[in-house]
Order: sequence, then C-alpha cells, then structure tokens
Amino acid sequence: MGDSIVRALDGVSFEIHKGEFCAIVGTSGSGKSTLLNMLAGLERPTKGEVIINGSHIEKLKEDELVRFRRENVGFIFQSFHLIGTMNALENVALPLVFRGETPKVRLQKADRMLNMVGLSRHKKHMPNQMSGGQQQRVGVARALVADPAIIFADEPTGNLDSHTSEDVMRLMRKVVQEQGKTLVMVTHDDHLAEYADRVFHIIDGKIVKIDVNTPEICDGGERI
Amino acid sequence: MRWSDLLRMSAGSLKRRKLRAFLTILGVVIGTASIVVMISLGLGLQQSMYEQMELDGGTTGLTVTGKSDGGMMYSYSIGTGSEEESEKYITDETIKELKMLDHVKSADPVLNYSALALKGKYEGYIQLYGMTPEAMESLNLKLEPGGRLPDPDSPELELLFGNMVLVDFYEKGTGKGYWETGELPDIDLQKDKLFVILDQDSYFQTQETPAMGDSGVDNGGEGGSENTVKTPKKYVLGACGVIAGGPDTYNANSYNVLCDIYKLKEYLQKEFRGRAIPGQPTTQSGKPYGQFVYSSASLQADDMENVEELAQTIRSLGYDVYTNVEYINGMKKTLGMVQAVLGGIGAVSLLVAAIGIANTMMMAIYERTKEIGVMKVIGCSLKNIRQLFLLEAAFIGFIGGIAGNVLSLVISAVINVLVPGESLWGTEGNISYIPVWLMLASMGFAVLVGMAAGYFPAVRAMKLSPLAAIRNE
Repeated sequence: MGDSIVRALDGVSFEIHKGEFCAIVGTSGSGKSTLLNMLAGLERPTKGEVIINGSHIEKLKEDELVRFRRENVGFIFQSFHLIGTMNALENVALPLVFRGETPKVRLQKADRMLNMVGLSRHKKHMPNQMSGGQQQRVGVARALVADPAIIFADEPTGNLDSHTSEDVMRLMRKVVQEQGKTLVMVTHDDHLAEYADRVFHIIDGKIVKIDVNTPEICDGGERI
Repeated sequence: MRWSDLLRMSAGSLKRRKLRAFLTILGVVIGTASIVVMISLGLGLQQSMYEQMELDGGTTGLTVTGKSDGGMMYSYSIGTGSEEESEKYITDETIKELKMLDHVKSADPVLNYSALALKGKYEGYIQLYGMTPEAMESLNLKLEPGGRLPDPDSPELELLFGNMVLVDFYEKGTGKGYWETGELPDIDLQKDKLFVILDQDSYFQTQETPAMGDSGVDNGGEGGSENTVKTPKKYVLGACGVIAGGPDTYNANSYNVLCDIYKLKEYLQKEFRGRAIPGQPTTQSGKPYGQFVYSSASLQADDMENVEELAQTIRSLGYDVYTNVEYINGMKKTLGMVQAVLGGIGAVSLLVAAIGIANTMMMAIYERTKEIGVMKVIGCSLKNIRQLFLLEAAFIGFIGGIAGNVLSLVISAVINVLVPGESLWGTEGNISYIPVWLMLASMGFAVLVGMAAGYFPAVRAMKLSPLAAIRNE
C-alpha cells in the first residue's frame, strides 16, 4: 500500500436484467469478489452507485442493508457456511427465522426446498455428516427459501470437485430457469461460466469483455 | 425474529460449550449465594428484632403515660383548664379523648400495681397489671391448658399469671429464690390460692410492730382508726390461668400478673378508702384526687405507618408516648447499614462473576465470528444479533441466580441448624432469613448483572463486519 492507491474496481458500469444468470469471471485479485460484495451491500464503493430495483444500495444504513438482504437477496457461499449446530432442515429455515415466520410455516417451506435440491433423505443430517456437494445443496436451498429476487453466489463450487460442481451448477441453472430468479455468480472457472447467460470478464478491476451465451429478452431491473 | 426463536437460539448456544457455560454459571451461583446469604443474616437479625417487638406489644402499639412536672405540687382538676396544666394524667376522660384521635383503633387504660403475694413459706412481689377484657383479648395470649382470661363479672379479682412470676418468689426465712436454688417454689399457680397484700406499707409496718393487732385473714383492717396503722387486708385470690411457657421462655407478660382493670380499681379503692392509693397523684395535703388515674394507656394504631404521626399528635397534647415503631426506625438505620455492608461483601463475588460472564461472551463471539457474519448476510438484523448475545448472558445470570438461590437456601438452613438463633441475638428465631422478595430480587439482579456484563460483547458482535466474518480463510 503505502502511498500508492489500489483500485479494486475501476470504472465498472453494467446492468443485470431480471431473471438473468450472470457470471463474473476473473483471476484471483481481479476484483471480482469485491464487485460481488458491493452488489450485495457488504462493502461500500468509494465512488459510484449500486441501484437494485430502484433503490440506492450504497446509501443504505447497515440495518437497512440487512433488511434489504433479508427481503430481496439470497446468498450462496464458497465454503457453504452452514451453522454447525443445526441440521439441514434448520439451516435452510434460518432465513425464515430471521423473518419471524412461525416454526410450522418455515419448516414446511424448508422441507419443500430440500426436496427440490434433492436432499429429501438428509433433512435431519448435521452439516458435518454431509458431503461438500450435499452441503452446498443445502446452501442453495437456504438461499432460495425466502423467495428472494436476486441470488448472489461467491465461488459456489470453489470447494467442490469437478463432478459435484457440475451437479450444483445444473441445479442453479434449473432454479433460475424455473423460478425466474436473478443469479449473480462469481467464479474463476471459465468452464463453469458457460452455464451463465452472460459472462463478465474482469481483469484488474475493469470489465474487459462481456460474452453472451444465450440471447434473452431483457426487461429492466438492475443496473450497475 | 420471534421471542421464542431468540430464546431457543441463545439457550442453544449455551449448550454448545457445556463446561465453559457451567463454570461461568458457577461463578454467578457463588456470587448470588454470597449476596443472598449475607443479606439473609442481616434480615434474620431484623426479623428476630421484629419478633421481639411483637412480644413487647407489636408494632402498632403505643404506650401513653401522663406527664408530671417533677413533684405533684400543683393542684389538678380535670374540669377547669387542664390545658394549662403541666401535668397530665391518664384518666377515663383521657381515654375517651385518645379514642377520638385519628388512626386510633383502640385505647385502653392500663393500671400497674405492685403487690405482695404470700403462699406458705414463700413470698414475692407481683406486678399486677390491670387491663380491660378487650385489651387482654387482643394480646392473643397462649395459656396453659385449662386456663382462661379473667372474667370481668366475677365477684373476686381473678389473676392470670405470667409464666415467669414464680421466679421472683423467695423463701421467707432464707430469702433464697429460683436464681439461688435453681428450683421453682413449690406452688401450683393453677390451683393454689395466694394471699395478696395490696397495701404493702401498712403490711410491713404491722410486721415490724406485731403488737398492732392480729393480721386477720379476711376481716383485718376494719377496726383501725385514723391514727393507728391500718392492718392491711390479705386477699385470697385464685388464678384463672397461667401463660404458657416455662421459667426460661420470655414473653412480654412473663413477669406480669394480669387481671381485670375495673376489678383491680375497685379493690384498690376499697382498700385505700379515704387515703391516697400508692402511685396515684395526691394533692399537697396528701389527699387523693376525685379522679382515678391509670398508670398508662395502651393504644393500637390502625397501621404501622401512622404510628409516628399519632405519637406526635399525642405528644402535642402533653402526654409522654413510647412506641416500638420509633425504636424500630432507629434500629432500621443501623440494620440497613449492616445489610448494606454484608450485601456489599457478597456483591464483590458477583462482580467477579460478571467479569467471568463478559469473558465467556467475548470468547463466544470470537468463536462464532463466522456464524455471526453468515447470519448477518442472510438477513439477521443487528438488533436480533445483539439480543441473542444479551439473552445468552442473561441466561447465564438467570440459571446462576436460580442455582445460587437454591444453594443459599441450603446454606441458610445449615446455618440455622448449626447456630441456633438464641445464642447469637438472645432471642428465638433464625439467624438467617430469606424472604421471597430477596430470592426474586437476587435472581433479577443476577440477570441484570449478566446482561450488563454481556452488553459490551453483544454490541461488539453486532458491529462485526459480515464481510470479515465470511471471508474465506
């Protein structure tokens, strides 16, 4: 550091449309994770604006951000981040707990989600009793259970082997298509990025290339 | 988040590190127990003092006595300008006057009279304590089986003996009594009749000059003239009851002999016809007043709160007033200090426990940094995070408070069994007393201490950056 100014992101401007599956691809240190954190409101940009569904994320206070995430955002982590003391079902139901849903309703919803991600036989398993792929499926179910408009995924397959990675990617793809969710995924794997509708290539904080895999009709929504 | 979920989650977090939670709670247990036990000692002291007060006439009682200005030099009459008098006596008028005051539940005259009692080779001074039947009833005396209160309609003066009256009797020849011999005189107060001499002065004068006529049992003293010493009458009086208890169990009336006040007055007036009754105020020439004067008036206030006010009112009327409450209030300050010091000693250990809680909570937050971050990212509000940790700390305080109270009940019971109260304060009663409010207050305090200790860690957890928390290691 010292006197030199490092710009993790520099002059990035793009729009993501509703129901789109976007991938942000870049090498380590390219600024892709920072970009995702800013989109999700975990980190504030020094300059510029993040507008999701008409509201300025960068201007929200922290408790407003939490509320925003609770109502609009699902998150899938690289290392799953399931709560170790809760079983699969409880982990999936957790976002609903924060929303103040009754135990009956939230367990029902969580149950449905686990069925959808194909873990109907592992509902009572604790995270440490499940494989990485299974844990990430739980993670996907947790991100989806509150029915958010956008899902952010930070290297969702980073801790998985290639075969399981394909499974998880297919699952996410399926969700986006079936439920019309917007999915923003960060990855360093060009191959996995092929699942996305659009791929943003980012190098040293700048978007250098946007690939469009499948042309789709855009109907507005988010703009960065 | 729902309260039930908050409670469940924070209780669940405690269970994760059972040993650590146990040790932290143990600190609170010891802290709470030391506070409760310490304060219970102070309360036990207070309690036994109150019990003592209860024996001595209760907390709502006032004793009003007349005021005399040294000698009895001034003329006294009830009818004319008694307001200017510096002397006040308790007469029937006074009783009526006192009854009219606010907050007075009852006002009864009391007549004290010391008499000599003879039985076989024993003699002793007895304190006759004349009371109205209602006042006697309100004392709630416990009598030996077979006893009853004096009957005001009985033709004779009926006596109700205190359980320690016989202690004051002694053998005529040797002058030895209970304190010397360790044996009570061979008198059955329930059945035996006593000779009671009201006019002691005359009795001793006739004893010294035996020539002055035969001290006839029932009809003596009737032929005396103004100039010779009148032979006192010996009244044969029987007991109607004895207050329950042995020679060692003290209560307010142990040394007294209770009787009906109007009967006693009648007897005295008959005995001292034309002369001044000892203890009664006299005119300058030694003549008695027209009004009969009682020793004191015993008042019951309607509530303990009003006793002091009432005492002030009566003082302003010119009477002397003694109340237990005023004594208690004086003692309360001292006791309050004792309790504060004892509680303070206990509080030190709870303070140490609070540091333990803070430490445990800080550890828990470092341990769960990642989890807190994840919870924030998936939508747990900052308020809920803070509540979760505050509740966890409060749980430690709460469980510790309950266990601490259980422990202090055990300790208190052990203390009370091992050290009987009598040996310490001189009265019966437990030296450690834990009222319900103390248990509730100490539990509340433990919870409060837990939350106070957990507040800083909880705020810290709330402020944790979710980004730092979930960053991949």
